[in-house]
Amino acid sequence: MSGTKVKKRRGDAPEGDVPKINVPQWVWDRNNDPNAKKRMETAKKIIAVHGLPKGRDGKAS
Amino acid sequence: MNSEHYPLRASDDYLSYSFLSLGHRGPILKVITFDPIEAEPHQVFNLSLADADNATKQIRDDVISDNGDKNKIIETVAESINIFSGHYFKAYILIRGNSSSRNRMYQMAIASRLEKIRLRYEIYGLTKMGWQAFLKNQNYEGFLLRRND
Repeated sequence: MSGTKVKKRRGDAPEGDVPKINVPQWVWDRNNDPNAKKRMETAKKIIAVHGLPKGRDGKAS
Repeated sequence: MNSEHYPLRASDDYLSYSFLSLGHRGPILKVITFDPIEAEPHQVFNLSLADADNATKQIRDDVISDNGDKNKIIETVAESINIFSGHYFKAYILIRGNSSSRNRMYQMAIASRLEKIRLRYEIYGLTKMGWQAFLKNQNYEGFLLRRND
């Protein structure tokens, strides 16, 4: 996905550790989630209004 | 957060996870998604849990499946957070139910696991005054998690 960085750390489980179950391809398609857009808009609004928690220095920790 | 959970299948980018809820109403395919909300200066993702309805080929977060396995599902969501945060370290995860009853359920689930959660995560609750460190016996409108180990 664009705009996101994957940061792997020492000690992370190697890829492939997650057991495989049969998942139909349509399940991974975000277009099949009719409430996704509304949910994301609400989440963005919450962050826009309240920001992120402040650390001791007054900045987002 | 290492109690019994359902086996998870992750998408290639570790932003979506799927598992089978095996309760008294039969198998229900569930989807957990971490949607990117903000990238800079801090990554923020919104967590959602929904059912995959094979009949309509839709992901629905507005159904109550009532499959009698709530605790195991909560543990499975917790496991997805562990996997996700291992790949998106220091990202904030916003958790918010789509109803007040779901928020209460999340609140109780977090409160009952608070000591364990705090070993690995910072956790905050949203009040009308803004974010505050999560406290038991307090009502919140949403929750924010970030890995701290």
